[in-house]
Amino acid sequence: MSTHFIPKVITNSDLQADCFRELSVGSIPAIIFPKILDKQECHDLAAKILHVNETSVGLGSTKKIGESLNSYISNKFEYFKKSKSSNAVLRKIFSSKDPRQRMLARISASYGKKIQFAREKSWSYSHGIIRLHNPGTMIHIHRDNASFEASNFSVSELFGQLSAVLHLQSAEFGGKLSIFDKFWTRSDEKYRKPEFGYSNNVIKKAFQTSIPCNQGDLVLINPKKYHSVNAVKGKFARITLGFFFGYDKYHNLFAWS
Amino acid sequence: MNDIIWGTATNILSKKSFEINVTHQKEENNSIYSEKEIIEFTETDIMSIPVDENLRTIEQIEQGLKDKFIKCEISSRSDQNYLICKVSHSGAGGY
Repeated sequence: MSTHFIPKVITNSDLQADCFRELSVGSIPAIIFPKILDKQECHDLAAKILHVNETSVGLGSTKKIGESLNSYISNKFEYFKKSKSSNAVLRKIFSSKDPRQRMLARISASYGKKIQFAREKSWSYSHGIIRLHNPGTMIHIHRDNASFEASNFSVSELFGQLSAVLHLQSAEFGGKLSIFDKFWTRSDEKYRKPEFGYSNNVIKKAFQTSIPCNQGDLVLINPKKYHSVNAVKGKFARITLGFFFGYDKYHNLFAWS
Repeated sequence: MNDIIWGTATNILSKKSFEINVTHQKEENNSIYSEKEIIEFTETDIMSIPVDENLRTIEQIEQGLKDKFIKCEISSRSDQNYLICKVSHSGAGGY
């Protein structure tokens, strides 16, 4: 068993540039900031999310609030139009306490650079996405790579895309994030599945690290490594808030979902 | 219903044609397709590729199609044995 491919846990707000470098080159599977929100804060936010009647259907049988660029690769206008509406909904949900500010602040402090949500001309990218994975749902093996897949969007020109996910409500059982120690390559497209993601053959023999969905934890991963979420089981939905971020040629950080 | 195949665009041959490695074929298809086919596209939803063939460049086609996982809705086979298709990016590789 590999002993090197384990997540780095950051508990202070010091500069952690080395950790980000390790995540970018793939020598660690994740950076975890434990408990950036406490149990009560997560509970209050989850309750608000579950009661607001603003969810839409995401991939499979998941529900979401906010937009995912991956669903609009051939429909840029629609993405920005929907993002404008969903950004307003997210503002309303997070009107009293905005967990995105906490996420951005932790990333900014550790990375040592300012971070803000991306814009393209006068359009705003989606300011995050809340995903509700109901019991029985899972996320198949995939990778995220705006540079390759979303070449019509300006975020495709950012470097070092990383993914940030805040766990607001844990599944009773399951719902674990698995990171495979294998970067996507162009030649892997032969393993694509028509509807979503990749065949299991793409991660054959790759070392796998599982990260539990602990309430309040902020988890950063390198999304160009294959990852998946196993089936959510029990009574509760797995609820997360996430976005991607990358840096421009001046090393300023920009986020989107 | 048109036959549908999926695969990775390998070589760009012209401003309207490319070679594809076929990895998936719809179960209900009327025909069986080879592992390698040449596609001539009549329509595409890929935003970086202009509708008017005269306005296209090979670079645009390469950026939009090369190594990408593509869905091809087949309308016919030409005399040169090319598949005449409507072409789009298929599904999402990311979440």
